[in-house]
Amino acid sequence: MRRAALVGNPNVGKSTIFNALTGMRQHTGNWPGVTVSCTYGYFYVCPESSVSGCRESDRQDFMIVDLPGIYSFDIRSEEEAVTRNYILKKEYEFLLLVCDATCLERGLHLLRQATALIEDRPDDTIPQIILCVNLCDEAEKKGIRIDFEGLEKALSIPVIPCCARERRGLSALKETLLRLSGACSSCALEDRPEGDSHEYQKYPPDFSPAGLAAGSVSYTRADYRRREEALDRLLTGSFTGTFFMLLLLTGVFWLTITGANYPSSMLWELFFRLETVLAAAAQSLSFPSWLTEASIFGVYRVVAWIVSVMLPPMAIFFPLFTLLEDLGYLPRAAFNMDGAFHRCHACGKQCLTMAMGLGCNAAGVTGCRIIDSPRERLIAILTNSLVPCNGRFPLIITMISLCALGTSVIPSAVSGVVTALILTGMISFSVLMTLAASWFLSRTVLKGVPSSFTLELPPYRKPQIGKVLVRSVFDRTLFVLGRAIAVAAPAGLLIWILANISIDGQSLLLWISGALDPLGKLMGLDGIILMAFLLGFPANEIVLPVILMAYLETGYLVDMEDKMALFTLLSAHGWTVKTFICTAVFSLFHWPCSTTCLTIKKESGSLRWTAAAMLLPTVIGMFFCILIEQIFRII
Amino acid sequence: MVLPLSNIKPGDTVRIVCLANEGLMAGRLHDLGFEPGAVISCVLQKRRKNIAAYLVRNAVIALREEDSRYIMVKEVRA
Repeated sequence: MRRAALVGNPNVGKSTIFNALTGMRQHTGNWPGVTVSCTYGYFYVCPESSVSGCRESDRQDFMIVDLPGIYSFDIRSEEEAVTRNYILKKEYEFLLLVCDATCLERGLHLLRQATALIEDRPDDTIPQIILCVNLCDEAEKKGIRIDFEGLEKALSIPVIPCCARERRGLSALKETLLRLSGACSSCALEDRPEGDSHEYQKYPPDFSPAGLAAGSVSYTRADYRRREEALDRLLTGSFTGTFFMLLLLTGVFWLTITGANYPSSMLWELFFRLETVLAAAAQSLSFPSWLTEASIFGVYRVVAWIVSVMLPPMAIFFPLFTLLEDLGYLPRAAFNMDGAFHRCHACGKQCLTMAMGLGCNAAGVTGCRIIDSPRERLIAILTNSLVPCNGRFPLIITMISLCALGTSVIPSAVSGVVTALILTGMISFSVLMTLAASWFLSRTVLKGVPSSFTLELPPYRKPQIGKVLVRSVFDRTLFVLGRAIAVAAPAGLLIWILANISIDGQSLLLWISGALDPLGKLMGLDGIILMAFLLGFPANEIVLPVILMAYLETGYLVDMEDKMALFTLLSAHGWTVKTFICTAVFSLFHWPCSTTCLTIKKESGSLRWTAAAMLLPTVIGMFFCILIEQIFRII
Repeated sequence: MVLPLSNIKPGDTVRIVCLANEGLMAGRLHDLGFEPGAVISCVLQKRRKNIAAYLVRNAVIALREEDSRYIMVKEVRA
């Protein structure tokens, strides 16, 4: 087993190379700082002679580690500490230094520093450095030519041009690894096979990065940055920047809402047919009728409802969001929003972690590691769950569309657009609350002035649409959905038990909802809704299903395809426009889900801050719900 | 004429004369290529001028005004 370590500047595609080599699916994205911890993976290389079929004895196994991207080996951030420590202390045979073909000079600076570091290691533990020049396709497109042979000659280490996204150059990398690991088995350079023209050294001799880059890179197109600059001006202009930000957000929501309708009704129809089959089967097996009713009409229908209502919006929103991330839009949004975060004494990179929170709050909290200042990182962690994650969108969308349906002031032809606009408004509101909370925190418990930071705006990249779709559906949506169902089923059972155990002639469910009712009523909700939010702690996706299950203890859903049926059911339990609004607002601002809380505990290392992170959105949510209730009472 | 980096407009190309940033930021800027002698250009600037982006070592890096004003530059004739 040989060991290799991947190092390089942020956002040069280390994780893409890692994924391509190991077949793993590490998250990648077009902004610096996606990888925040070391990831290990394994792969093997077969000798050329045995292309078809490779015996285990012939192949060479490799262990590879994907290290966080760094700008230098001097320790100025946690990632640098992690990476430097690994490079200095750990044992490995290969150091794969990855650099971006479009900015080679930066990579060469890092190479020089890496050389200085490993020179100090004991002689027999010095690894072989291999320079991987990634993103060659982008450089070609921009007319940037690199003299790889000259580079290899000057550095006297293997230099491998590659394009990991299209898997180009990877076989050359594997071959080099295989050849050099053969030579290293006795660890003597003389053992190299005869006829090998390359006189590789383990590390390059001293060189000047700027000089070498100037000597080996030629620009064939003077205006290679023109298109990018024009797009940047449009996306970050003082008026156009905000306009495109809102347009993109609304567009993504509109696609999510409209696109979700068709698969939703299709899925529901499918589940309904299956239900008929199941019911018939239960009857023929002569199940007791209460069991049939509880399991099929109760639990099955609710699970079917979760899948058909929750799955499509999540399966559409998440890939769309990932596409924006792959494109490189998020750092531009951060550039646009920096003024606002600056005034709140927060880090401009908080916008990136906030945007990550739209996908998943737990991921957003982990992403806060890109913020160097501990004070600003804590602010970003505490306020992350103020933006709704993917799992909360379906509930909010349902609330908005039911509200529109109930008031029937909006013609159905434009309801998709209107719902998307209202949702954009709500997200803007939650961004506003994020800013307000950051402002409040940096003036009270986390006092301080904004610290320095640098924000890299990476080049735009064409997203890999197919890969994004597959990755987000299989890695994210199905996982989240599975979790939701895993939580919803026991929650359903719990509700069934609570509804069927009576104390003093009243079911436990009524006792609990009765106890929560005064607080719920004060917030424009009711006891059942509050209880559903509490039960939704492990997974926010189940809030609405739990509400339905609790209401349906005395009956069950008849026709879920028709949204009107849902509206009628909720209205029958006392829901008014106010209830819909308050439920949507409380879903926007309440305690983060259990996974997020655990992540906050891990990242902040303190129970107190975790409690604060739970309390902060809850207090905001309660405040606004009570405010709305009061307003409705007055008018 | 020597002037702070925060004063230059998008499209201008300048040579860095010296940096007066302190602490971690000094090192971070050095890592990114903001060092005396380096030729950089401004590519984007917000209207309020609180943040601007610069092309340095062929990468685009955004800096807040309170950091870029400590970087002294000299205009380069194109």
